[in-house]
Amino acid sequence: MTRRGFLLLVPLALIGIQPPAHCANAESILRRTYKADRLYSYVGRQEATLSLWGSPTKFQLMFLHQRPNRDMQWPIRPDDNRDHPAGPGPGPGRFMPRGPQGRRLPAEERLSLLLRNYRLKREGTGQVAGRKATVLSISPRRPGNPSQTLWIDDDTGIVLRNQLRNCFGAMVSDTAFVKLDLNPGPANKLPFPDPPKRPEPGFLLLRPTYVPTGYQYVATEGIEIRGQQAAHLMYTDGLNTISLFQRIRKDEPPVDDPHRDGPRRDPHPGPLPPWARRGDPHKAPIQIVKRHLEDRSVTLIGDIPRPELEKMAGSLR
Amino acid sequence: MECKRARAALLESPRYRAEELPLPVRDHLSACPGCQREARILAAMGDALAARRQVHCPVDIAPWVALRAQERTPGRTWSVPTSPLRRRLALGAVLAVLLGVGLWHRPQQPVAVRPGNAAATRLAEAEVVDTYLEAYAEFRGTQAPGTKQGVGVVVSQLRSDQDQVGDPEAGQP
Repeated sequence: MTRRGFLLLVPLALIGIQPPAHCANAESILRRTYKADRLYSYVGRQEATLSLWGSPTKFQLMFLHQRPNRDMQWPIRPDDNRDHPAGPGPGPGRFMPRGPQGRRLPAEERLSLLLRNYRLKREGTGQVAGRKATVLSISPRRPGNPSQTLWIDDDTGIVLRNQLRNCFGAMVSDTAFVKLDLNPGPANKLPFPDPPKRPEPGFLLLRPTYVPTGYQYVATEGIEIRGQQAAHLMYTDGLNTISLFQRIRKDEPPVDDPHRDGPRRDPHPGPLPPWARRGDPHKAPIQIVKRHLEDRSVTLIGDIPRPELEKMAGSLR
Repeated sequence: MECKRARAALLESPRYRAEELPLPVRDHLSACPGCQREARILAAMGDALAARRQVHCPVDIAPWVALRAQERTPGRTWSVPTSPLRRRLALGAVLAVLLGVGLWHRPQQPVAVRPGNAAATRLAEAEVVDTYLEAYAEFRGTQAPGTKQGVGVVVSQLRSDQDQVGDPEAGQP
């Protein structure tokens, strides 16, 4: 009888001790992606589909990664069949990182932060650019944060495909490699521009007393815009980010408070780029909140519901 | 003889006034009816000439008209003699009207967004937001695996979208 009871308790204890198998798997798979960029250089063609305001737009990109941390991507024409670029193609290229690495939390810290705020789930397997991949979904534990689905290369841990949904669940982008070469060859020798120096902001910073749940402060950087200094305060929850910019105001039109005179037709107060004025602002891929506080012009950008950004802006002291 | 000397003195007197003549002449005038009539006529003529000079009327205008003009009450003339208080009140009224007109035409928007420089302000502001977006994308791209690709693409597209529009007010969905 005692032996029977013991045999019954063992599997129950094992179930209690061990985390669910798919979770453990998902975490180890995700952990590999943090290491992949340090281990491999690669070049490839990507196809991106953007659904910023309902109508999906497709275009192609060349993506080059030089280990450990240098990335470059630029748009290419669909008829451009070159797989190994001799240099940046036509159109605006994007180099990353452009600044020092101080803004980045250590990999372990980023991963643990992500795991605190997001759920991982292994969705199955797939194939991207002729390579076997594991599909992993990252969904927020709290509503109002973005979600991602990643296709992770089984051999290397490189992210082959990335689907990004904004905090409202609307699809924002779907980027996938159509060709991937782990031997970039000459492209691996392409020079990257030196990252510009980021000066310390030369004024006293306002800091928020409220930060959305799960987010933590990362770093502050100085930016120069039209000869004027601005500060970039960075917050992250491991996946999503909030950027808080502030600078000393100079002869700028006042930013209207949208709640002052009742609802406004224009949901974005103050002058904004035309794209920010289009479409349904609640489905916009990025929310922008602007405020004038004392002598400061403050802008918050993040993929997070607008009230959260407004609350954060209102808590600046 | 007395009458001749009296009328000569009367003609030489200022404004033909008998009151200003010497006493012997005045005694004669009071006793002589002919000289009295002459004195009345000369006095009237002197008043008419004085009135014509005062109202600056043409030379050929009738003396009685000039006299009537002189007799007009101040309230019925163009040039109203004004008191200092009236002048101040009038000045205050004019200033109040000018201030009212100025406030009425005062632009509802601040100077920086008047139509003249609104485009420049929008461009400058778009440049600022563009720089912010760059920094946001760079930062976001450093956080989660694979994000550098997705976010970079989104922001690139937003930027090119912005470039294609050109005129900031011409945005069409």
